[in-house]
Amino acid sequence: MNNSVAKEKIVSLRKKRSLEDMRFKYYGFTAMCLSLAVLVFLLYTIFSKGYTAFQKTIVLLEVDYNQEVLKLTPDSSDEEMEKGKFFRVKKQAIENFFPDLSKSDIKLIKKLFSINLDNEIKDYFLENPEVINTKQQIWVTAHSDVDQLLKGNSRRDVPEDRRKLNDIQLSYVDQLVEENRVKQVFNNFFFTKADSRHPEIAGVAGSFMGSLFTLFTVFILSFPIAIGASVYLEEFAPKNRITELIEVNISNLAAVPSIVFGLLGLGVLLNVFGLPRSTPLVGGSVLALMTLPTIIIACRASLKAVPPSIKEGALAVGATKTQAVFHHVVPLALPGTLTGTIIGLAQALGETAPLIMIGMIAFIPNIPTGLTEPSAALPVQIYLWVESAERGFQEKSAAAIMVILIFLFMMNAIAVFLRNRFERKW
Amino acid sequence: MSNSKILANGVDVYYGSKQALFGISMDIKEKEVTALIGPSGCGKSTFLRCINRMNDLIEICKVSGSIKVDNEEIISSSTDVVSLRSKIGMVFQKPNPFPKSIFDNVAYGPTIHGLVDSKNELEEIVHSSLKKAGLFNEVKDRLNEPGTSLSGGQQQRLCIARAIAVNPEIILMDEPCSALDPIATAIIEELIDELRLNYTIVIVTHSMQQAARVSQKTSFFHLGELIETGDTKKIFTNPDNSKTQDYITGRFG
Amino acid sequence: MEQDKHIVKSYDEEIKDINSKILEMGTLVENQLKDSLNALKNQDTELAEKVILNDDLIDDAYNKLDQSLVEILGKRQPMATDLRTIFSAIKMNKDLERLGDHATNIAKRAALTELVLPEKPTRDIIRMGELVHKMIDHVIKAFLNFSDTEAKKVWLADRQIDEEYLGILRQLLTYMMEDPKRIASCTNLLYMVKDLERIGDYVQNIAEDIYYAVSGEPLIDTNPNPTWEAILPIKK
Repeated sequence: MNNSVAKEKIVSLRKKRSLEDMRFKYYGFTAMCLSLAVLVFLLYTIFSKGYTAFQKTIVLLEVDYNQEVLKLTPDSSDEEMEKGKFFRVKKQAIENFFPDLSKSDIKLIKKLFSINLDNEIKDYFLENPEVINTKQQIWVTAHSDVDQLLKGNSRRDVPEDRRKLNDIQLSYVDQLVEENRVKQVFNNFFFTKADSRHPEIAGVAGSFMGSLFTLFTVFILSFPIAIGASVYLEEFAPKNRITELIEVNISNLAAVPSIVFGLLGLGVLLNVFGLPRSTPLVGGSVLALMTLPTIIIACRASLKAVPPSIKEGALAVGATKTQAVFHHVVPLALPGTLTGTIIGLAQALGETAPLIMIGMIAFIPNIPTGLTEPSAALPVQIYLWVESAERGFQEKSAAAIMVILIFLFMMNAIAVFLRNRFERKW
Repeated sequence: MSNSKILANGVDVYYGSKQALFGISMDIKEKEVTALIGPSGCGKSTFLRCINRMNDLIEICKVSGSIKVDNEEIISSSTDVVSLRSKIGMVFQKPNPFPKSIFDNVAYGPTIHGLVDSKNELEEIVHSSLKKAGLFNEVKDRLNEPGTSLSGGQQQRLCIARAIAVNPEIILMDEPCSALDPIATAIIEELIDELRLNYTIVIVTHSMQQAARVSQKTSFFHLGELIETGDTKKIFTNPDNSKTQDYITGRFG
Repeated sequence: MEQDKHIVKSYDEEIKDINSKILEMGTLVENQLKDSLNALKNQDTELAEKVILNDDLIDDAYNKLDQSLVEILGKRQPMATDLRTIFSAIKMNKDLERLGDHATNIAKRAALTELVLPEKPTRDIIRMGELVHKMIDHVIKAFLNFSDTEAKKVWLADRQIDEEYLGILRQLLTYMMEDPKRIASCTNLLYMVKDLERIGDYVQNIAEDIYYAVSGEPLIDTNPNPTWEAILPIKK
């Protein structure tokens, strides 16, 4: 071949190659932008729908803590106060909410307040017992329908029979707005209350605690077992067919659909062992099974990443195998294992299907205080709320998603922190 | 003539079905430096690792034959490997201090063997080991800093101090200077020269000059066989075997 | 000679270079001796002067070889045979240079034409010179063939030189005793024969070096030292 022709060919090929290089860079950049856009869209939808759930509407209500109506005296003991007739005070307060109300109007007005009104009146009194025999202006939670109307989530211009609030109620709400007797404040109920049929007093506290207990169970069960299994497989087990089979199956187990684990929990834990259903104990056990392979894989990877020279060094000064492994190898593998564990826990946190199988989908209006109490979990709660018809639950589900996202984000942050904090360079 | 410390007789090593060492018989004298030389993969490191049973770590490795340390057979299932290794220290090719403080690195051996009763005693052992390894003056102000923060040569001396701390009689060195610069190498070589007075040293090295400088006896391995063993002076000026001759003059092909 | 087949090819080249430089040195010295003897034989002052000037050439060759040897030592750090070869080459270089000096000395004395040399001893000296010249030739060949047996042969041949030396010495002493007028010219010859004897010793040294380089063993003389009986009566 002619030398200059060959050179030309090489140059043109080189141009083509660098062009290809450039193109590939842009493909990658585009792909990244696309995924970023999808993520931003998702977050935007959730936040724009959900942020209103962090606010609730409260109404100013004048309450007369009359001792006769309450059937209490200023000297009443705490137990007696607990039993005070607060529903009668409430009734009076509603009757006097607007001057000169008819009976039917009172009924309508009652529906402007949350179901929790008795308790709020009572709690105010219990906190300030000196208000007995005085009239107090207190802020109480409005009904979800009022809340949704004022937040602009439900529309006024639909026909009356397809509205939650009828025309009379609407006019009262407008009057309240005019008199500045309503306002929006931070929704503390969302973080302190368990699930409820009434959106205005439904919160994530119950399911949050349920998730926390479940994760605790997952951690307690899976972390030691996973470390034990990984250390054995990596450091002690003979390399033969059986261990190879186990290794392959651990990887396979990580890919098993979670619902299968749910079935296992249902069939074995509930039916055979008779553990209480809907409890974090059972949910955690099932999720622990699901998380185990993830942690084992992470732990083994980090055990493998520990340079063998460290173990050799320990053995060479006369450490036994167990000493070498537990004094040197495991501590070095721990950050990686912890990261894997947290990722596994995060996975478990988001898991819904197995929990449905073992009954954690039940409606639980209480905040659980132990592992054996029935409780909900965050993802199941979201599922339940999305299913609900009431308008008020829609924003709640979006808000619950935000809570779970922040929870996940924090767990990942902890994972990153732990990795950076304990990771050794050697 | 000094006494025989390690006596190998007909040592065969197999990695699976592949034979790595063929009937090695060798006599290593007390308080001498014996250098094992030979091309890569000739089995010199394998032989070194037979002496403190480090080959046990490799599952497919099978050792047969006899190695006697102080007239005690060590190639047998009844050998107490832990006590054997406390008697035979080892220094590796790449400095491998534990990712702990300098103090803990040296203190680890004495602690697990229960050689010390009190903190003062431990401190004494650590200090004296560091002094013997010629490192004490360089690190005495920062014993709590990680061992990995030292330079390569210092790390290697730390590993030597770690080996000395359990009071061994034999020190095995597997290419201890291959990762070091010439100055650090010279310091280690000087150290080996000093240690020779108290320890029996077996050193694997790729540098013929190093073998010539530090050892009294040299053994040449080739393809798993011990070709020639003898006084270092003799091996490097007038070896008997033509393979040794070819190897040390750089004619191997 | 066994200086090929190194993994590093340039090492082979360097050793070959050393060899050719030694050969050059040897040839120079050999010619120096040959020319000196010719000058003596033919009473050729011109040739003798040329020989004296040629000594500088030998010095140059010596310096060059010396430099190459130092370089190869520093660069290659030779081991075993290579080490012995280089070490021997260093000593051979020095010996050859000294040898050249002695050859030049002979030429210097040959140039003193005002002395009338007695015929018989001069002839004997020239014959002895030729023997020595042959030895040099052999020793260089032994080096080039890297042969310890050849080296040993040369080494043993020195005994003959020593005998010749004693014979001529005796002869010259007799001459001088017979006629004191001859003392001046005989002394001149005495120096020449001493030079030749020294050259023989140097050749013997070189043979020893070659033997060591090849075999790794020093060459030890198993025979008793030649007796000095021949000159004993005169010593009295």
